[in-house]
Amino acid sequence: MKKEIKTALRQRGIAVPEDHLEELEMRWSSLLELQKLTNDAYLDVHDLSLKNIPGGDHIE
Amino acid sequence: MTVEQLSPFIKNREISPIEVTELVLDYAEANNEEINAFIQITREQAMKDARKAEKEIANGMYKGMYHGVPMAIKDNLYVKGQVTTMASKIHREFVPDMDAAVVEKLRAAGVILTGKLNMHEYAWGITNNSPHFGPCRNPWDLSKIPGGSSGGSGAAVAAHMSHASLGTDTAGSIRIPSSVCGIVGLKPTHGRVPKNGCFPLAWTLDHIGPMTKSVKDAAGLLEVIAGYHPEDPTSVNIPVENYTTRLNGEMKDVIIGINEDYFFHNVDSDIERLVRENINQLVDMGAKVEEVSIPSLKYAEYSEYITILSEAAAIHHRDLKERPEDFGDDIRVLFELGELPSAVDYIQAQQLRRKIKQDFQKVFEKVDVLISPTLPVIAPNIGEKYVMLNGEPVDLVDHIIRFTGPGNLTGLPSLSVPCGFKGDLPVGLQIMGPAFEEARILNVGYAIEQTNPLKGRKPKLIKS
Repeated sequence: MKKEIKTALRQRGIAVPEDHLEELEMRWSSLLELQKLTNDAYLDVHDLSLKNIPGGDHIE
Repeated sequence: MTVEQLSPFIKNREISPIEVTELVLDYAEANNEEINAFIQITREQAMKDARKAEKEIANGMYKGMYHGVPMAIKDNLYVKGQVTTMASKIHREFVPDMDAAVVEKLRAAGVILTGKLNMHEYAWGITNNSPHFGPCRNPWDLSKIPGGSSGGSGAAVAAHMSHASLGTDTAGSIRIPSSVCGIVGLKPTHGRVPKNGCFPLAWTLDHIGPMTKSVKDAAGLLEVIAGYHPEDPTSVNIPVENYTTRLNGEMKDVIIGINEDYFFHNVDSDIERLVRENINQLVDMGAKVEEVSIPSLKYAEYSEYITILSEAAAIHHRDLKERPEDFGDDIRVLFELGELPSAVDYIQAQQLRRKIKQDFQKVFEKVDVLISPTLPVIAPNIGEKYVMLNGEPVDLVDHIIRFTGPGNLTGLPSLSVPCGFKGDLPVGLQIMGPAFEEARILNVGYAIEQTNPLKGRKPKLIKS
């Protein structure tokens, strides 16, 4: 996975020191494990989670 | 001395703001070499402001509880014309041309700003072991971390180097240092306190709030800094309450929610015992306990991490490409990690977040507050990446934000109050409530405070 992480970051213009790759791999793997817990979450397209406030930041 | 104890003396002109400010500054300077809570002490400006406050009070223009009170604040809050570093190398010489909204409010209340406090670089961490400004130390045990990211604020208040302070909280950064430094820390509802002029860590999770020696001081400071501000897109226009007058410690009609599956799972056994003992004391005062289920909490760690990592990486993306070596190594890794989730991951994390919010909403239809430990662990030694949890070493960052993160995801108000000691280190108890019900959680915290959980113990002070 280290190689994929390095490539993904390089494509975004980010140079990763070799000694970061182990920690990045460990933390990214933990996130993917946590993501598995969300497989039963049944996220529906009608679950509105992002919103657009008309006309500016606040409705005054 | 708490602000609540100090302010009547200032009001009645028995103690002058000049005397108090001089004493606090002398004390802060004498102890900073060891505690390293301050990045900058602004003596000259503070004394000028103290003279102004004294004149105002002498002329009968007393502004309230915080008038003439010296206070230092976290160094990610902009003070016009004063270097604001975020404890970073990149912003080491950054001078804002504006005051943060909360700084404007402190000035309007007559607070005397005494300096800027150490923090974890860009607020992205919990150890406050700064590669650029040196480690801040826990006044209860100088070998331990003060927590973070508002570690300077926690240490300064606990060590009496500041009467109170402001911190910021994105995954627990007010409540973590408050818990391990034995003080009161309030993360208000998202939108309750304006954030313009505060350098962001993650826009949708960031909060500013009081860190104080007592619950009443926190209530009074919230009255000062809360309120709508049109320049903060997250600010909500709901009237500010008089929080101090709502503190009576009455627990007769209070229903305490307990969630065993998440908030009491994998907790240091001594911390768990202390929190349960405090809950029992509230029951003795008349409160009732009800166990509650919050099924979506199993998604909370993922949603919190994807959100904070992605938003923080977006903020620092350009510097990560152009001058990555100027970041401390620990946060550089986190910014790199934050570049990995996809846009879909981020948006699905927001969908999960909405589910969590809906579950909490249902819980607060049944109970008044939720109580849990603030942290599952106690403060580790400075420099350690792992912490012991019931005899097992566990990742410090992953575990220390487990119970505080849901407050940021949901935006709900969350208070940490001291509830006892494990050995020589203080332990915090967390009280969460419905949106904009800060008065309710403060009153439960006040009831706990009345039982004197710290038994009058104070950090062993170094130089007076």
